Amino acid sequence: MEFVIRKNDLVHELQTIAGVVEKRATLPILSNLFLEAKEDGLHIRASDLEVNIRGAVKATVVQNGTITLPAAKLLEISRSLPDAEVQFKLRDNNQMAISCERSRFKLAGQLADDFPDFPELGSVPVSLPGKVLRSMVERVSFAITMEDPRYSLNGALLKVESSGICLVATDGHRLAYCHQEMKLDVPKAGVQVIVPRKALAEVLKLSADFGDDDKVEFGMKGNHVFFRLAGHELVSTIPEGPFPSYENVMPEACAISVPVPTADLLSAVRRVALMASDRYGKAVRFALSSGKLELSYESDMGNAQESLPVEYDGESVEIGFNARYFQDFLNVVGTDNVLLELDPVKSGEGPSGTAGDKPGQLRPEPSGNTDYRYIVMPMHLL
Amino acid sequence: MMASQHQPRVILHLDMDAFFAAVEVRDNPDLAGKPVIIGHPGPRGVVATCSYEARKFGVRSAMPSTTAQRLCPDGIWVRGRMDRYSEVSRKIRERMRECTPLVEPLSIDEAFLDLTGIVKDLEGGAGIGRRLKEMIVRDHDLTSSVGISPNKFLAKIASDLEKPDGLVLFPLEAVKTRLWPMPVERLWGVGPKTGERLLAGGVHRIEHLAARPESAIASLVGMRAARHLQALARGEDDRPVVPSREAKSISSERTYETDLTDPDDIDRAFLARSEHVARELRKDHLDARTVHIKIRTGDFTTWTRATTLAEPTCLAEVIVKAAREMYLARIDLHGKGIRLLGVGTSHLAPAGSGQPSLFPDPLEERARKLARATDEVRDRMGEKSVTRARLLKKK
Repeated sequence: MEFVIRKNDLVHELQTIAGVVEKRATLPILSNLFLEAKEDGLHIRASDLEVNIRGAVKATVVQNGTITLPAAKLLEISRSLPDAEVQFKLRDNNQMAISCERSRFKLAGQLADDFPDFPELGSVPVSLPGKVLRSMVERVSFAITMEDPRYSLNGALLKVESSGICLVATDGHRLAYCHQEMKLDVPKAGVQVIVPRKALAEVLKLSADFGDDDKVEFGMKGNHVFFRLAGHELVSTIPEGPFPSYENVMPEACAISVPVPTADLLSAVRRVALMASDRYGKAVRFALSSGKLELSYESDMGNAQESLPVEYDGESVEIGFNARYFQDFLNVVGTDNVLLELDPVKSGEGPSGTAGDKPGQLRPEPSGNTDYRYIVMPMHLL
Repeated sequence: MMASQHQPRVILHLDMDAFFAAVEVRDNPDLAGKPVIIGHPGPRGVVATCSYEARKFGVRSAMPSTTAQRLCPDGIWVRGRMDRYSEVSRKIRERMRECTPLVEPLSIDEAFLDLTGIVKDLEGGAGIGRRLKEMIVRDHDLTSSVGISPNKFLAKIASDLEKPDGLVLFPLEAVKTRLWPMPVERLWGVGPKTGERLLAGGVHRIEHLAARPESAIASLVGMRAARHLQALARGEDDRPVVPSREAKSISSERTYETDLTDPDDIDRAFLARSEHVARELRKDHLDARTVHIKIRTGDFTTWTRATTLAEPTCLAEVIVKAAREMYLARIDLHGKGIRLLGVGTSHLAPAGSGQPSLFPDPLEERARKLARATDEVRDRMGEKSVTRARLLKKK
């Protein structure tokens, strides 16, 4: 096995693919990347047994062959090399000799035979508009749980129907929902599948340079889902469901809907949260009254208060929200204003002047064919 | 630290006298004047505590029960009732907090109070000490011993000087006459190892520590320890009284007479411990975020594991699930039996301060209702009035 490749091409490809490699892999070989030199260039694969990715990059191949090399070290070495041609030549005992100008490395590899096969899914894909999908992933994937043991929450629900695309993610406390209305050439029943967090992160990475016409091919077969984009193929196992019945927690209509400037709200939440302690959770008090929205937090250390002028002349309402949940959404929403929507307890239903246990909703002012919502469960104010 | 340079502090240490045994004697007057030993007399039991009558025979806390039986063959063994003791302890602590918010509980039966600024001097502190002692006698018919001094170290030494039912003022001036003649083992930080080294260097009593140059002590125990010990020997200790309203952890463990090997027995043991911990959490209106387990096998190998829950909880169902998972997935006993099994919780926060879920788990909702109902019955009828069928003894 022998090939020559430009350093920048190599680094770019390694950075794209190595994200799939687990830092603490269950099988040692999964810390490696699979490299195959063929007539048409260098093919690289990574796998964590759930998510698999492969792509090809231009290279001058002198002799075909395969090997696996430790991903982290290979990336580290490649990055450090001068901006020039890099020669790879496989020596005895799976030693890969890497040379670039006056640098020489020998990196111990492992036989490629032990590397998991790439799942070949020969099914017909649906073509999705790349930029639209990318923007949906950006807006939703932050709400995927990091720690919930419920496996089904470890991904986002993707629905592709003839009338549009829908992506939903939740960690059990908050939920991000994005629906894009559009005509798609999809079988009538549509497709509905949970996509793991890591696969979505790869979709984001691969679509970074997308133009308006770039497409993502998407499909599923058996318990796998696949995406093809930017010259790469991504195949992932589908987490076991069921996905929570999110429709039930999405408010149909909220009694209160107040526009608030996104940037002002974000900085106010950030500042107030400085006084919040992890110990008692970060329940910031949101008090909405005539003409203003007040945010406050009290802890053992002291307290913080913020006041934002808003267009509101209804009854006073108080509700607690986790500051971090607000920041997560306000960071990605990308519009000048957001609507803060609450459904306060009606008299006789519980303590009035609070929102009880009903979730609050944040969303951009509706525009075009996009329906983007963020639903957050309130916290008890102690 | 803090005010110590400017204004002498007034620190009070209160220690209940033979607490568990005293509670038992009070609840069962037939035991009065007899050598009562709290603990389990089996081959694996240890003495939790004992009455002063039993101490006369040489019985001590943490002593193996077999030794205690040999020393005091006529001792009356009583099984400890932790629930009862913690209930009394809680009430006494409430009384302390009426004196000052700066109450630092050390364990179930002792605490420090910082009375600086509340009283003028140590005499004033003694006044509060006397009142506290009287209140505890009146409310609970129990005696306690109190030490008052400008710092924690001397206050603790003082409360021990005239036990039981003592009250000792320990000003700095008393260091020479009362502290220096004591053996060095009385100092905090002198365990068996350090003690041995000091003895080897001819340092037997605290006065020897105070008299030698720092370098001489440092050559025996190292610089840091030398500084710490000499400061104590001079009666200096600037650690503040840190009030902790809530316990930092709540746990429950049990040693078994015969090692547990049957998976079903082990599983039930986890449930019993978890149930106990959950009940304590609910009594204190707390939710826990972290669950720990502790396993000791017959050969005294000890295993501990911890995990963080997605949501803080006070439910036995949730705690036992986490405990079982840790046991099954993260401990391999290689077929050895379990001598001790414990379940604990930490990262405690006020109940209900967590983040409610968008999708409440119906099973958890049911467990919550069940817990509320059984708590009510137990509050009225006692802890044993309700139990899980799974925990009933096999006939």
